[in-house]
Amino acid sequence: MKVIKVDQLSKSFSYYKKDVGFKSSLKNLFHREKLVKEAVSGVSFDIDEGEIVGFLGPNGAGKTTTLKMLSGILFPTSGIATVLGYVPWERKKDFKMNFSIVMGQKSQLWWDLPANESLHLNKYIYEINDYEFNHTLGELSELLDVKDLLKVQVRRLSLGERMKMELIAALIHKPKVMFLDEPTIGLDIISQKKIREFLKYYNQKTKTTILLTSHYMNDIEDMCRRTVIINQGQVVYDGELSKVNEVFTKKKIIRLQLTEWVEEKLLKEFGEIKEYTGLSATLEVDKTKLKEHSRIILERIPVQDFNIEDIPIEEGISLLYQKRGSEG
Amino acid sequence: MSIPKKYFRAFQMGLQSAMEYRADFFLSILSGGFIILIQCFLWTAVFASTQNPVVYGYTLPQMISYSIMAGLVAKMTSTGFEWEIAEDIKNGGLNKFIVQPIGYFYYRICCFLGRKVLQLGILMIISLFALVLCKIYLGFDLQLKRVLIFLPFVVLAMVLNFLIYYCISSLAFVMTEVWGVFIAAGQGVLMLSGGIFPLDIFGEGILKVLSLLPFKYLVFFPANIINGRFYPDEILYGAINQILWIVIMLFVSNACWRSGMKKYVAVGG
Repeated sequence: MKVIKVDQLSKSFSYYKKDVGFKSSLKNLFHREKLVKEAVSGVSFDIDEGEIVGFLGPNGAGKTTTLKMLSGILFPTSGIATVLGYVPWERKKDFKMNFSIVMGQKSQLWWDLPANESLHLNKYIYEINDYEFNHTLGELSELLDVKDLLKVQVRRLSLGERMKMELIAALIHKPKVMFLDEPTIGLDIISQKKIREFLKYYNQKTKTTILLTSHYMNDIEDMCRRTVIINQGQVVYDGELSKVNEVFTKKKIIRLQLTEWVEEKLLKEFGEIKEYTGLSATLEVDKTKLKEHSRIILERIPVQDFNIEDIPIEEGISLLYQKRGSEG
Repeated sequence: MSIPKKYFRAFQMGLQSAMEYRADFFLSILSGGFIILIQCFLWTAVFASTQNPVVYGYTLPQMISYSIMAGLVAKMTSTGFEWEIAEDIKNGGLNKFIVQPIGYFYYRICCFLGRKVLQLGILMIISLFALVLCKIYLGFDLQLKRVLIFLPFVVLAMVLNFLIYYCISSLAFVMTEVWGVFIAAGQGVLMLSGGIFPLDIFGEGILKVLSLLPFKYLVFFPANIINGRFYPDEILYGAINQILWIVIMLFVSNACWRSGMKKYVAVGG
């Protein structure tokens, strides 16, 4: 069943520019040239029930804008989207009761009170009964290992602890769909891992559909089988993350350990040299010539160790980021 | 599970967060004292320099008790949430209210009342003390009947002030930086409501104009009920006006917020 359907969703913002200096400030006071930016232009994708999908893209690609439209915070300029069968920006109560959004950089908790209090407020907002509330809260706080921290003023928690509280606050009403905007931003590796593991476990157990954005490749690789990459407001890739390179790069990497000194120019004819010390080298080789080159290298060069690797996903993705959306 | 329960919860949380910072809580109550003190000295000097026992229609005990009550009522009805709202609008904190099944207006007013209720209680006790002192030392004519009438008017004034500031805070939708506006509006409202001087000082003509505005029902009107300056029919007339203004401001703030929200969802937080 398709839980999220997005069809040709677009959003443009108007803004204005100011040149350096007081004079142009004065000018801007009276007349501002309006410019239009297409933050999202014609994004389409579907998400099945229970999927975890990673939403990837450089800063300003339109990820957050898309999430905001899907959660009803923003009206789109054009296009259609439904989440759980509801049009998000109609803001029906039934829709609100069944989804939640976590913004890594914004808190929904009351800063000056313990998280407990905010959670209790959510209990009433989402009309959860006592039994269910206590059960869910106990389970979530146990899983995230924050049981003792529920009574501590939120402002006194560390970033990682706070994020865990945010997650509890977002899941306390057992939403069917959850959006996460950079849930691991600014966290240390262990906290990141904890949150990843939690989300994975939670998704498997409850079949909650999750759409998340992150700049940490580990997040996406670890959690999401499917990734939607957008750049400049357009979808440039939709599929398995590990296959990004198959689609977009036509090169592989050969790593060599040599038994004796080999001159750089000897290696040059096989491909681009990425690293070279004389006794080891890393080459980027065209996929089409991989077989042939490998054979020649093994025949002619004193190789001790020979490895063929994929180009790291990060590199494939940064290639994608650099491409203009329209070319992708 | 009934719907108002979530708003009652917001009320409780407002109360709790008001109690979280004790020093701030008590200092904010005390802060009104300085202005009251200055006014008392000022009016004593004014009365001492004239032969006339009545100035602007007030006797000295009435003027002193007005100054004290005006200061205290202004504190009782004072807001403060407008900064939070502006912050919510500017930094996107409003988002969480859009995505959750809760009404921002009701949430805010419940929080506001929750924050106020304790302060209100303490200020009431202080007021009572002050009035008794006025009675003992200045021979002020203190009547229990007037105090009892005064109470509902203060609560209504609080609601009216909430609505006025709820409107003002919607300016944050159009202006990114509202610091100056809020300060100016705060001073303006304080002056026009009679929080600094009794409005009679402005003269007949301006008083007439001010009677057409909602502000005088915030401070001037309740404070002068204690003073016994109104006849029963004037109090009734005032009550009707106060409630009328509450209804009007409900519509106005609703309209301001609807257009603001339209802008907000178009631009985003």
